[in-house]
Amino acid sequence: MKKQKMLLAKTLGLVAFAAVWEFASRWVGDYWVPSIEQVAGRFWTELLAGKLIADLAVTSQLLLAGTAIGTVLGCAVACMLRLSPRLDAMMQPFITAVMSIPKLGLVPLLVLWFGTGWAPKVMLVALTVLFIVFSLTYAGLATVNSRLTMTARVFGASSLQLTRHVVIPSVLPFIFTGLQVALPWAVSAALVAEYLSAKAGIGHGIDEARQLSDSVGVYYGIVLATVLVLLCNAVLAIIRKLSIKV
Amino acid sequence: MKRDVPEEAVADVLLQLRGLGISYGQSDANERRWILRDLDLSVREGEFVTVMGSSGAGKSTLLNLVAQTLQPSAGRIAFRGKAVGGADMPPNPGSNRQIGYVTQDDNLLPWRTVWDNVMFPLMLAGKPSSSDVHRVRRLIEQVGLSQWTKHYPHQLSGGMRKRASLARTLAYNPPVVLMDEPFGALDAETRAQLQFDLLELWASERKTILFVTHDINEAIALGDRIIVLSGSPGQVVLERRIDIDRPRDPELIFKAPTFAGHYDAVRNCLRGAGHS
Repeated sequence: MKKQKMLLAKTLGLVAFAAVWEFASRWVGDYWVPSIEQVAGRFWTELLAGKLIADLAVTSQLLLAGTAIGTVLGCAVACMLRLSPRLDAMMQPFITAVMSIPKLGLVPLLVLWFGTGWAPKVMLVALTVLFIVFSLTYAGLATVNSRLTMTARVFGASSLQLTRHVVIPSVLPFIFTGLQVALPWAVSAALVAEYLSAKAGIGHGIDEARQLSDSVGVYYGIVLATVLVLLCNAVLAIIRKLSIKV
Repeated sequence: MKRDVPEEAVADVLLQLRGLGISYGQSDANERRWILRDLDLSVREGEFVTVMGSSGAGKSTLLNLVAQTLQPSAGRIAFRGKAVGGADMPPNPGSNRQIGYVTQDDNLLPWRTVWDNVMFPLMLAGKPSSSDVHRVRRLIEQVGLSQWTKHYPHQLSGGMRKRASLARTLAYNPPVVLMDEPFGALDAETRAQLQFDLLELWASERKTILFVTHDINEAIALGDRIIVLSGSPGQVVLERRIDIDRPRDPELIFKAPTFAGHYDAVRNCLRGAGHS
């Protein structure tokens, strides 16, 4: 499809979405569905008040820290299991079991253990990302072409060089796919963590608005969270393009 | 074993395999399944040896043993008279960078351009010198890829990838080059051109080549000597010197007066091996 047509299709989609929203707002009333104008107005006032940027920054930091920790740990666990078949056999059933626990259900436990500070929130995001990135990295490591590693070894590559020039480039696309899958989940986890205990952040804002029966505030928060996901996705796509050449 | 080749004078032997064997299975020697057994072979410096054999005779295994990506269960491998591999030595591929290996697949790194792929073995050994860079530029020119250095492998044809793979192996200047049916998957025209170019490279680079093929024409066109592996376990069943003058034209090799004799000898040997 041509670029212009793509743009047209995207615009049409947005217009249709706005129309449905506006229609719903008029039909059921603005307590249930506030109008676009109200939500957009809230964006403007919050932006002027500086709260929009502040909340976005707090949630982004939480997201970044949790994602970084989860990615590093996920990759590390995957590498460890792939390097030791014995450890792999030993750990597999536990990993499957732990993966099946809904991470959001762990929130009360995390609060019991670590209180209501930054630690349990980062941990929740990290746990969410960890298992997704682990699964993809674990699968990716199995696809490293053994003929490529053999060729590199005949050329005299050391283990470190083999890792750097053959293994990492092979697995990188899997890790990025894992991050792209994990991103919306990570944002959800960050919001839930902020509902429960926070003094700032998008999730905190949504919860505060709920307590005040401020439906415009809740909508504003949800749209802001969506914007955050789209922004992160765009950044991720750029990093992916820069680090994977083919 | 039929031998029409006299024992080599030891002086110019580059690569020597003595009693080489590889097996899988039980530790008791009689219960093991031998893939290759009691294989003796001496290759002189600068010699072009083609290896043929029925499928499953262990041709690729032989190359893997020489490249030290497999450990032999018996025997030893000597390079310039010095033991480099054997049943009692842990395999250490690439340890002395004396061996180049062109496999059946081109095995180029898909995330590196042609230039970076050819530079790869040199880069592994440290920062390439300006003479290395010069050498790589010349090699790439010789295999006809000067216009394609910035392209990635998936943007090239099969023949071009094979050329890049060949240039990469020659880039770090190993004295011995192992080739495992490198032109097997190419169309006849590309293959003939590559055979021609290979002979030119071999003449200019003075390499010792061990070349596995299943094509009798190719084996005769390229080699100074053909060896035929056969049986289970695989052993050398025929060794035949090819006395056709060089330079040769691989496409017209059948016009050589002695071609028919070589062809029949090798074919009969392969057939006999297949039926037994």
